[in-house]
Amino acid sequence: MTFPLYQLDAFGQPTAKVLAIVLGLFFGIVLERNGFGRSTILAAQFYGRDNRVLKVMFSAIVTALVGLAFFRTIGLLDWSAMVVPKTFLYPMIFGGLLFGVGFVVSGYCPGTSVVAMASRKIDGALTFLGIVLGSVLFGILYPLYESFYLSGDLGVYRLPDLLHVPEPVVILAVVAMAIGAFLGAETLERKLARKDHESPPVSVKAVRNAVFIVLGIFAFSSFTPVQIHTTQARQAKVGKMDPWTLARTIVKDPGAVEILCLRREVPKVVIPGAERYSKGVSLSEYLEGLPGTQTLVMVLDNDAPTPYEQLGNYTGRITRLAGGYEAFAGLFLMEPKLSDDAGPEDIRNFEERYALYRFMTGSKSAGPRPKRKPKKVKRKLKKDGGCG
Amino acid sequence: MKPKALWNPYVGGVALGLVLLATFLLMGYGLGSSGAAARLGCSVTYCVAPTVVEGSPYMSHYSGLHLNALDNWMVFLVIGLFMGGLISAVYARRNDRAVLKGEHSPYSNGKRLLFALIGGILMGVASRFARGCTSGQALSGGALLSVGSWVFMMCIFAGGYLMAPFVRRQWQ
Repeated sequence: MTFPLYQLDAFGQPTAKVLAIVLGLFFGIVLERNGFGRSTILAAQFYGRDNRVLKVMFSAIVTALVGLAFFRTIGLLDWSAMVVPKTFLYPMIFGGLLFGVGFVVSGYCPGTSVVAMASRKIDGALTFLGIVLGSVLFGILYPLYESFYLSGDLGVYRLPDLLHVPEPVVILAVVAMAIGAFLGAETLERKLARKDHESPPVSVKAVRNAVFIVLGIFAFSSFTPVQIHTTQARQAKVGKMDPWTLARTIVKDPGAVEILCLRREVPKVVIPGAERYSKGVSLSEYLEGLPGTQTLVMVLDNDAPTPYEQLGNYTGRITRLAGGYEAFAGLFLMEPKLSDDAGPEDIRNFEERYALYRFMTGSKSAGPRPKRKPKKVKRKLKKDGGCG
Repeated sequence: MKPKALWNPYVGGVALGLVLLATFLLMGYGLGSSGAAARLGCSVTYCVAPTVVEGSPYMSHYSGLHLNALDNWMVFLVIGLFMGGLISAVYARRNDRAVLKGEHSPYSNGKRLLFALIGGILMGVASRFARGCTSGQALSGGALLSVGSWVFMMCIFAGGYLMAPFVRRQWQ
């Protein structure tokens, strides 16, 4: 198993939606138990007396950062499949400043306003309404600032690229910076509390220290040379190509697929456009010679293993024909027959299959066949006595 | 009965980080909430006035804000977020109906709610410029070490601290 699962097509949208609800549940519970459903607690951050927002946020960032580095080091995370937000410098500076203003005026941010709304805080509900209205307003006025919105485009640009230091060093620096920020925040809280003659917010030093010792140790694990299990990563990336999809693609857009026959036997009827990979060059060498923009369709015998190791660094989508050559041949390389109890759905299916068969085998043109044809075939079948 | 105590912020932060990590590992993306608000706004606007959405290059196709908000798993994340917040607030006895403001704030409830709405509108606009909010951009992008996310995060703190003196009376 290689993470991230959804990006590597381990499951589809319906599963993603169910998982998203579950993740959202935990997200909501954690925000609420941190006190983030209350504007007074969130806004306190900007007056220095209780820096809970800073502590929670930086602890969360460090945990996720170190956790990702750990999973990458042990080879369970394919970093290339992670979606890193792109940097658009100027709109992000402007957006950040404006967001900060909105944050202290409303007392919430978008996520926390949802939690506040759920716990019946009217100000939270109004903030959420405002966010929806603000987004629509942005969309309506978009032409006025389109060029600014797109300015400062640095693409995917990460701190290791900016600072020209190896990633593990950046990770350790972020951990150190977070600890520094916490110590500073606690000192500030104590000072302000003394001034107000009140007690500072509870800080359990032992807990903080324990948490950061563990995170620090994990951060060091990111120094281990990265050894991504390429075979494993690719295993998750190789999808299945259904014969129907392949057949339709061959007709409509043959340039989109590179069909590679990897079977030992040479069949009598070949899949149109299929390249027979000869033993002269290695598979990975052959793949390197391709532009890498097409979807690769490997045609193998149904029970043959996928040659994961030889797929090299092929950049396009890699698929394996579902059911192998036999499934495709059975559907489109042999004359299709219609069973006696075929319903209208089957007939429509049959018509397409017959057209595809004619195209694949080159029998006359691939043009549309007269609608009556399937029935004729049906009759012919009956005459012949049919076959199971 | 008194509400349950809040978590220690460091423990609570690690818990939030683990939820974020799980989201990264499962989805390949981080957490997010402003995007769902934008999609919701877009869908509602489309129902009320489709020409507005079609007339805006941003809303109609540029940003990938699909016309049907339920097409995107991020929207489901926010539905879960609402449910999680509700469950936790009921459990911790913090689900009393209230308008929150500083204990000694001279602001009326009406003024507080107006400020909440205005602040929300500003954040709605700001999160579109920044392509995310505190969760999607600062927290998630920050953990992925994106430069823009860190710039955005620093600017949030800068904007907040600069504006804070002007709304001090709301939170005192």
